[in-house]
Amino acid sequence: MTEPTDSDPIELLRRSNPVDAERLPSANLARIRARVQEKVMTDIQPDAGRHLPVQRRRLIIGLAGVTALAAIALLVFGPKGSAPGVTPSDGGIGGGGGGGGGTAMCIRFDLETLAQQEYAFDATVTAIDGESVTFAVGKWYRGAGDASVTLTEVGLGGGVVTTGTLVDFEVGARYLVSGAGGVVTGCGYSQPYDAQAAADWAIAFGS
Amino acid sequence: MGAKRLAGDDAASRLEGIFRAYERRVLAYALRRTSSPADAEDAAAETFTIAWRKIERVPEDALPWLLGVARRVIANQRRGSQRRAWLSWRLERQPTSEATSLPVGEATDGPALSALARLRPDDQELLRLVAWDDLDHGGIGRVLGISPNAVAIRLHRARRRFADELMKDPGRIRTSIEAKGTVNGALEERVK
Repeated sequence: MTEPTDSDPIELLRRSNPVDAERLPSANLARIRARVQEKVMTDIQPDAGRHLPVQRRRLIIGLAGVTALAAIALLVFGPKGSAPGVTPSDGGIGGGGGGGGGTAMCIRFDLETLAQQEYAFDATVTAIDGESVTFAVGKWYRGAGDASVTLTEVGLGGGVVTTGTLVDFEVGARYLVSGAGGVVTGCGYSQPYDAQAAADWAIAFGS
Repeated sequence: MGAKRLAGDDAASRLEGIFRAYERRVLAYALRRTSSPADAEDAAAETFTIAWRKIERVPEDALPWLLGVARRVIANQRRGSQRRAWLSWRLERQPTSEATSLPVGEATDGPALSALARLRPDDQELLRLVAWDDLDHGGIGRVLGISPNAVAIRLHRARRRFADELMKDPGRIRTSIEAKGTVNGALEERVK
């Protein structure tokens, strides 16, 4: 019989640990990442989205609402490795993700995170109006299936928007686009079309 | 401000490394000491934000520094909660028990946790840091702002008092182990 005094009380307490750090759900961690990113962006890129060129506009990437914040969080510090077909500049921390400039923080591209996006498609930009970009969709990896879709900086729900990295969108150019809540996700999760990346996207979305 | 003195990429890389290495440890620390997962997330996010802003001051062995920051952040949270509870009481003319509920990590059952809860707060924190946050005396000292020697002395006493408290509940000791996973389970439910 082992009485309390026979056991190491610290070991007993250790085994009663109510929180296993290794089993914490990724969503909790993702929300934290998102919020840290928001602060970091505020610190290092306070003027993002201003002074936009007329013909070559940059859409400030944002995600609306808590769920979307969690998604973009992984873009900031996301976990492991870069996906084939995505260059380091698309996702390296401190770089301008998704082909955009700026000093935004991104993490390397991750197919698992990509697969969590609400919608994803292969499309050509047909119009840019202020912060809205309209796409003619050639292929839906995930989402509504409409032939045309317009995304804006502000989420459709009008919720909180977190600035992220910039993507250069040009009328007539083809992109792989993913996002949630009516906005585009950056950091390599939206990028100029690339055949290898498209193949990766097809795998990620099982299409 | 310190971050701005570093090259942007260097600061960002440093923060990324710190975050990847310790995000789980910091969140787990916060979960054990706050009254809800939302409060724990708030505390962890604030901790890493402070780390970003003071990135040049974060030591190579970053975990004790981070937990020290988290500790102060949580203390501020509690003060805020107490203020809100007081205001609520004044407005409603009735006390609110929710604002002072036990931290999640202590809300689980089991004699070890019960014994821990009966100790003084300082003793509780020392024991949690060594048993749950897995810090050595030096690390605990950096979290609490005391010397390793002071940690050793206080820990010796806390350990003895904890063993005494355990002895008050010997009948349940063999079933004491299985509180583990409760908070994780609650978190997983929250995610669904």
